[in-house]
Amino acid sequence: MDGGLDAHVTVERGGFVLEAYLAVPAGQVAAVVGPNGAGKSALVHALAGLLPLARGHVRLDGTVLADAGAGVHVGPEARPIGVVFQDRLLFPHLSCLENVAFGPRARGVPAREARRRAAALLADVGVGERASARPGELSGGEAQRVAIARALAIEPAALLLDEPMAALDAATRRSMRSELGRRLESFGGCGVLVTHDLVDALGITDHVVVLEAGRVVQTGSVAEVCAQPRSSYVAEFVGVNFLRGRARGGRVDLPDGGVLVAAGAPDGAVSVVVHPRAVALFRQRPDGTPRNVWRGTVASIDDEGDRVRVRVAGAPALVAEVTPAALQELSLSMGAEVWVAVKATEIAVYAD
Amino acid sequence: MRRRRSFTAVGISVLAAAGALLVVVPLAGLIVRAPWSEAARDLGSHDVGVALRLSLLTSLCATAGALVLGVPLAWVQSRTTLPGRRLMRALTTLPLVLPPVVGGVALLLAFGRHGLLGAWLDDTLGIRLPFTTAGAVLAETFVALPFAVLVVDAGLRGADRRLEDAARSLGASPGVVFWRVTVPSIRPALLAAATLCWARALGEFGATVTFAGSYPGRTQTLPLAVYAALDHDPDAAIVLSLLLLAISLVVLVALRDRWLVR
Repeated sequence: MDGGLDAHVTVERGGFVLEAYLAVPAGQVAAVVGPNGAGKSALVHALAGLLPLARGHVRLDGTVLADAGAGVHVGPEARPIGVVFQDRLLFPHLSCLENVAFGPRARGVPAREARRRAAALLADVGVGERASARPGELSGGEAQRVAIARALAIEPAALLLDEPMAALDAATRRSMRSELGRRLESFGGCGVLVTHDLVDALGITDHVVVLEAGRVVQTGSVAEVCAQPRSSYVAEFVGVNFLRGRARGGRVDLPDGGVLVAAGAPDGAVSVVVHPRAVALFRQRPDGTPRNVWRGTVASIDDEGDRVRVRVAGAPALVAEVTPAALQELSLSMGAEVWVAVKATEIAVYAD
Repeated sequence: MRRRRSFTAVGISVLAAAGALLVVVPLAGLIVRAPWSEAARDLGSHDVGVALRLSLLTSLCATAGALVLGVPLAWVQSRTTLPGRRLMRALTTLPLVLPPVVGGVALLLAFGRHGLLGAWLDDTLGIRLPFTTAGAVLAETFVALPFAVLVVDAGLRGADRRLEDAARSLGASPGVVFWRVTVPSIRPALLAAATLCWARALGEFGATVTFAGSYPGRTQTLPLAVYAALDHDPDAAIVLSLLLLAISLVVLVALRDRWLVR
């Protein structure tokens, strides 16, 4: 492969060994997902040159950045790779403008030109008016934007994002996710999005690399990965309700005849994700706010200790997660008739 | 049981009071016995001015020297895996517990006219350090250095090294990382180190008098002037002591946010 990122890395840190491979064609984005401690951050550090490779190589657009066999290791300061670090790691003693200008200045751009470029980038990511603020004064979303601007300021050929949504509240997360998708699409180089939450990858990329305990356990599209889980992490993930359908005007028509009303659903073919926790069950038709209410029958009940997963057949069929106490209160049993309710705001919809 | 506990409480209170008195009584004595009527005259006198100027000059030079040498030492000890760095750490903090007089003797043996380095300095460069102002600075630097090393080392260990990683990924060379990221992030430690070094250098007596002697205007700093004055003009000694006490108080107030209030 000539263009893009091609990495096969083995990194040893303490007793932990990461052995991962990753191929991202030029202009595309790969999501690296996995539970905490899977080695995702180690992978980012290895790609950025902050961790030496025990074995393997990192190539970007045909240039060898690291090759353990040949003893090649290009330092992080010389790699055309922008990194948005976990916890952002903005320099607390510098203003946002100086944070973003830091990279260009360190790479030899005159201070005035670096600041001009930084100001333009800050405006571009939507925090132009915060240029003189210190990172400590920013909200989580603003700080994330500054961190992205800082990484883009060095005009990298590849962009690594380590848990960019982790420190954000739910609402900011949602808007950041769609914005990140747009930004990565317009960014010409290749991107690597690292996240512990597979949902973050939806709408951004369909190329998923699942990492667990320092090993790549699965690669493929979100649907492929979810269809045949090969790790407890993905199996857990399949626990989410994943549906496909066609959306129009905030209404998603599902193949089984079901209809879901979802806040801000884009028109067209969509993927729908509903967390089982967001699915409420009732014996009587509930009144109140839920926009999505339908009838179903209990198809299975899985007691998982502190929670119970109830599969409800219907249109659509969904899995609900309730507490054992709630299960008793509802006195649910196999074949029982229940009302299913999901708030429109709890349904995540992504354009296919 | 109760009796024993109350005995213990009384014992602790008595000892604590004795400890407080040990500090307070001498200070009170200094203030009570101070010849306040002549204090203004003594403070304004030429001799005091000379000693004060010399003290400020040498202590500030020693502070600068201790930081210039101490920060790299601390960096090597906290950031590298150099073999022998633990031994180096022990050696560089030794002057902290070494009697200053011994330090002075050691300095003489190293930098004296017949010393390990002193002979060479004298022969090839014509530099003689003992009994010079530069010698006083060297002695003060010697005793102040451990404070710089220890405080900066702690600061470096406490600093978020991931910020340095971020700087490197942005293209910063090691020098840029150090000056634009590391130094700003240990600024509080640097300030504390500077203050401690300065206080230690200002009060330095033993190593200075041994290595540099007590020549007015050349090596006789304030503490040495106090000692010299005790012989022939005790009142002047008290006034000079008050001056040093005042300076110490200023340092204490400057540092109170850092160490005294937790």
